[in-house]
Amino acid sequence: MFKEVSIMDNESLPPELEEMLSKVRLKEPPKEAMADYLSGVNAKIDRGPVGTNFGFPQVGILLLVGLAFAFGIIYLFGLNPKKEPIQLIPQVQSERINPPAPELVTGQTAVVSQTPQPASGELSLEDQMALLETFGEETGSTTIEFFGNDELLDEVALLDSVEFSAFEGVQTSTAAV
Amino acid sequence: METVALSDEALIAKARQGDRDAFGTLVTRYQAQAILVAQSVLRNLELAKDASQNAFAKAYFGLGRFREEAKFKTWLFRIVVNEAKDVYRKEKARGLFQFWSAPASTEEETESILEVIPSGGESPRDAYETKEVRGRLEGAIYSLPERERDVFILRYLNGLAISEVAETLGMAAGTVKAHLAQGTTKLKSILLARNVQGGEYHG
Repeated sequence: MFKEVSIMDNESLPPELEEMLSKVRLKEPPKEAMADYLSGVNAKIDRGPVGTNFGFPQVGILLLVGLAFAFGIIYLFGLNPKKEPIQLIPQVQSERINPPAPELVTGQTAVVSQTPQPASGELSLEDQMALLETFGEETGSTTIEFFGNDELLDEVALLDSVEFSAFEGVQTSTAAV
Repeated sequence: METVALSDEALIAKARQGDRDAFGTLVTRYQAQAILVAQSVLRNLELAKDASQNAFAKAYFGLGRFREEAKFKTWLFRIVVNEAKDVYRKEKARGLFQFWSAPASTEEETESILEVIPSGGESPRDAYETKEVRGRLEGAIYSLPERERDVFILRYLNGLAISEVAETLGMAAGTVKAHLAQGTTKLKSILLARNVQGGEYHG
């Protein structure tokens, strides 16, 4: 079945080694091992081509990646000493207990009080400044429109005073009740 | 039509058209050599059988990629070598995971790939010495670096021509010759160092 070892081409082999090699050959598999060989090949062909090569190295890598990921999650949610506790429920409760009281000092604050006011602790300094600037600009622009028209300014002032007195009347009647 | 008498090329053409009998003839034609090639890498008959069967299945599914100008035998052996090396790496990795098992297990799994060619009129002493030589030769071959060992085994034990070894291992013929020369020199020095006596190797 197999060619006997013969030295071909130009390579040379030491005669002693050649003699040794001439006394041995590759061990042929026993016939009983070969009996079901073709059926084994056909079974593998019937099983179809194997797409991915997933062996022990791949399992090991997957295990390591999984462990690293799990450790990361545990560290983030369980062991991180720098984490800040999330206080959603206490804030809601404080808003219910202390609803924002309307401050009616001027007509401008009355406009502000109609909009939903966030809790004072919720806004940062920058946010509060931005809010004040926004309302300041609006008031400023409307006031500028009225400049030069004394009659209109007088009317606006009169309306403000009427509204204020009406509100005071409501307050006193509520207090009396 | 009887497929046994057909050439490899004719059988491949039939197998490409889905003729499983034609491919079966190719399997029968090369199965023993394929097992020996796998066994020379794995040194275990069962693993070699499984690896070579996998290689045949891969060859069947890859027949479309087979180039006509190449030899089927060397193309198949290349798949067998790659498959056997893949199995070897997996077994090695599995061995790393089984560190709790008995240390002798790897020795038990390794089988001899060489056998003595029987010759008539050999005395028991000669037979014993030849067996000793076989063991030492095999030990020396497997102490060679991987490339040199593969080239040496395919060339001198599987009996492939240099061009066939080159095609099987995917290297140039000149590289094969260089590996052969280096491997032979190393083998000689290893055998000398192990002082193989008994008229077999005197250096």
